[in-house]
Amino acid sequence: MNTPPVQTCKRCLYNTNHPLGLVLDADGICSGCRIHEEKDTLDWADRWQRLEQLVKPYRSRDSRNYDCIVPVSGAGDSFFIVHLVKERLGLKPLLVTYNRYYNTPLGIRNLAQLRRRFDCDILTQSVNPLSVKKIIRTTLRELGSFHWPVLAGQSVFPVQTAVSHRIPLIIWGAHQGLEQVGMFSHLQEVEMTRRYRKDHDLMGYEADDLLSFFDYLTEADLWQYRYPDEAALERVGVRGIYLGNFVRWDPWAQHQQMVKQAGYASARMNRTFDIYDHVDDWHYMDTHDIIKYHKHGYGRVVDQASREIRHGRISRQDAVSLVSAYQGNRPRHQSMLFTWLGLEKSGLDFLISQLPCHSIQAVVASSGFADAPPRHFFVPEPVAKLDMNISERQVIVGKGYPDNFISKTA
Amino acid sequence: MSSGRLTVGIVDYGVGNHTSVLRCVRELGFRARISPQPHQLDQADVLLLPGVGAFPTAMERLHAAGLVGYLQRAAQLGRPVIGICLGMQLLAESSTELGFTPGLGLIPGAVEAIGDPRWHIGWNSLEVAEGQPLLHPSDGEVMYFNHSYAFRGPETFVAARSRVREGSEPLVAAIQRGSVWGLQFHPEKSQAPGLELLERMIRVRGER
Amino acid sequence: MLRKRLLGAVVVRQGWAVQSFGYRRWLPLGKAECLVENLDRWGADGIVVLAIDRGDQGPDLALIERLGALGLSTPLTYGGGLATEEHAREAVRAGAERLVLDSVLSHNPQAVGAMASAVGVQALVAALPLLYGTDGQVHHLQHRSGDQGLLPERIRELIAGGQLSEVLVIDSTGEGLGQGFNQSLLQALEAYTDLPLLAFGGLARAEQIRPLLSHPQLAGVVVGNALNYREHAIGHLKADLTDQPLRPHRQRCVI
Repeated sequence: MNTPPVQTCKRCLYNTNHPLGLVLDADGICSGCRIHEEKDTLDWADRWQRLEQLVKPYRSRDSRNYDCIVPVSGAGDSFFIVHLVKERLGLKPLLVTYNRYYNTPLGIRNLAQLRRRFDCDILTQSVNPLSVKKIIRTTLRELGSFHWPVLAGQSVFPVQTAVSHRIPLIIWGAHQGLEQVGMFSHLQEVEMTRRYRKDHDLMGYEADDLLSFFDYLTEADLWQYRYPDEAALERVGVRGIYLGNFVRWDPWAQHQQMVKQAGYASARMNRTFDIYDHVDDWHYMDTHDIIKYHKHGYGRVVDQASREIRHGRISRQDAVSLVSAYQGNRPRHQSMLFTWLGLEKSGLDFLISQLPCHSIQAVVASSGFADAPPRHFFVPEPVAKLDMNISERQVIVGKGYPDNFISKTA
Repeated sequence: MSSGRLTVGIVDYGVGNHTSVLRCVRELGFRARISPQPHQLDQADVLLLPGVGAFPTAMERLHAAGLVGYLQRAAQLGRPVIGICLGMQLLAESSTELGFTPGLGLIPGAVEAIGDPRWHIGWNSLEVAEGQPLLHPSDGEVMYFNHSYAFRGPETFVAARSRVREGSEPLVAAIQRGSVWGLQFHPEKSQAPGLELLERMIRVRGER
Repeated sequence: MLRKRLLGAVVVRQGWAVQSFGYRRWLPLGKAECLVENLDRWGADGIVVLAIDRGDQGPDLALIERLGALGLSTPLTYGGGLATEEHAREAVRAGAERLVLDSVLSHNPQAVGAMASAVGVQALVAALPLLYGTDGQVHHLQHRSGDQGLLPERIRELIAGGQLSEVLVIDSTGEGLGQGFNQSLLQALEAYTDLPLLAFGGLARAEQIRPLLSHPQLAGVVVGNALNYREHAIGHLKADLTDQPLRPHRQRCVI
């Protein structure tokens, strides 16, 4: 293999170690930044028209079925996506969500708010917790990931639902490969593929591939995460499109709009200045981010800061200071994770010590820790906290939310 | 794991890459092993003879491995043998590829250059002969071929043909005599139609 | 009747499968194994893996072996770094059905005969990157050096003779752009050889592929970048080309 030395983009914070693959051009600007430039040059009115044309054949003529499926969660771009689909495109979506178990009360509240504010039907998938924990213990050991079931479930449940409910169109927000590393141009209108899911979301391991780790996982633990077969997909005509190819995607601005217009609740999180992206997950900006930092040399805050550099809201220099302050933060909720998984901290520490970080140069070295809002970048006051109490008396999401995070049965 | 599964013995004579055939047969649900050893091949329900490259080299290697007599005895005993691509050609009496070379002689006929076109490469449909119930479900299916020499022999042993162009002389695509079968195409590289055919052949032949 | 083929190309550079744009720009796509396995599942008529940065390192045998270990049921063709008889033998032993030869045609054409003896003529495909020069003539591009000129005598001899079984004609200008393949390149090459031709470079949509399939000498088309933009790309292309002599599309029943 001819691998040249690691190079860093002159504009954003990424370097060529990026797990999705990043290239620099002759000016030292990365593929992600170059594709981002399209956001300021493309005719978005025209692209919206293309989107209207694309979804036209999927509008059902009667009220007997949904027009499309929209995968959602209690965080991320879900509010904005549903707003576009329902209020601007005028489609009838079926929302689907995958239960990740370590939900924050805020995430559950946001999901309920989403459903009610936009008046949508929603399907939830909860895979039995015993299997989920068995899978996590395997993927943590073999792949250095405890997030695999969430990635697998979030990416496959909508496809399974498309087949079972005969709703061919699935509408996603932004394509991660395009947004982060410019893997595709907006003009290529890349769509969802099983290949991308296996290659990138699942780190090369689909459900059946986990059986190859001679472990105690059985087919009974994994079949729920299987992609539908080719014949079923072709019969229904399943197709996943990304709104980010047709709309000038700007999560920071979109979130603020949704806080104002749709009651999305934001909260301060560990290890980042961002208060919007991952409020539904106790561990994403915590232990998961620590692992990411040690595996790839950077935490999520680098993704978010690079995004804001490209949107012109912060200079590269300020972004470096911003990021280095947050990446040193220690995790806050690890005991919750260990209790739920039945793990010892020493086990995780050992695993982290085996990760490649020591041979990978950190994208930005961490220098201390940060908790207060950053100096270099304006962040609005968050609306809530991760563990906000749900004020309504009736919570219709499964059995509510975990009792003090230490579940008695699961 | 079922103990009633059929075992396929893939004859290893040091020519070609057998991994794809091995994996294919296993994925079809059969047990399989690659071996040059008669005592291990004895345990197989069905023998598979793959092959790529040139006829003379392949026969040389078969002789060197002591497998010529073994395969001839297997045919006499009525054990199922399936030759694939060059493996099918080896079943014949002789070939003129790079000079005259005797084959295993399990099925009367000779292997000669196709001539025109020089090679038969690509996907082509099977024309299954009359009285071939095992192959019949695959009649009209499109399989992957890659050869420049072809079998020529008595009608009675020709199980299927394939035609390069409309109206051109058909090439022999499959041969059969007793328990011995030959497939000129690559069923393991012909996706669903090929896999279905191979599965059926192994299962039906092996269960006899 | 022999069908024409719709092949999928996977271009590999620095260990990554990439989108390729005119031999000059590349965008990472992911792991070659994932793309190849996907093309197999989709039912491509063949998979062509081109390792374009091998230089003098010989073929990427480790890559071929990894691909062989996938248990593909689709014919696999490999190109990149093949320069000697030993390389050809090892690449076939590692699991490639057929081989694409590029730089060796210019730098060491004598080796081709030995390679043909070792693995069989039907295993060898000549890759010819072509473009129009400033003189308006069809030029052959040596992409390692960047030199271009009229098709060299030694290459014309090779494709006229009997040591290669197919020619992969590459539209170097259109490659990666999805704007179609310049048909006149096929006609230009037909003057030098009656070998079956494969067309690669710039093909993305069915209406670009259709006119090529009616060329009598064309045996198949190769699509690269465009197969990565949507699910079941091969199936969609074939669905729009049912009037053509292609192998009919069938899904695998096994996952």
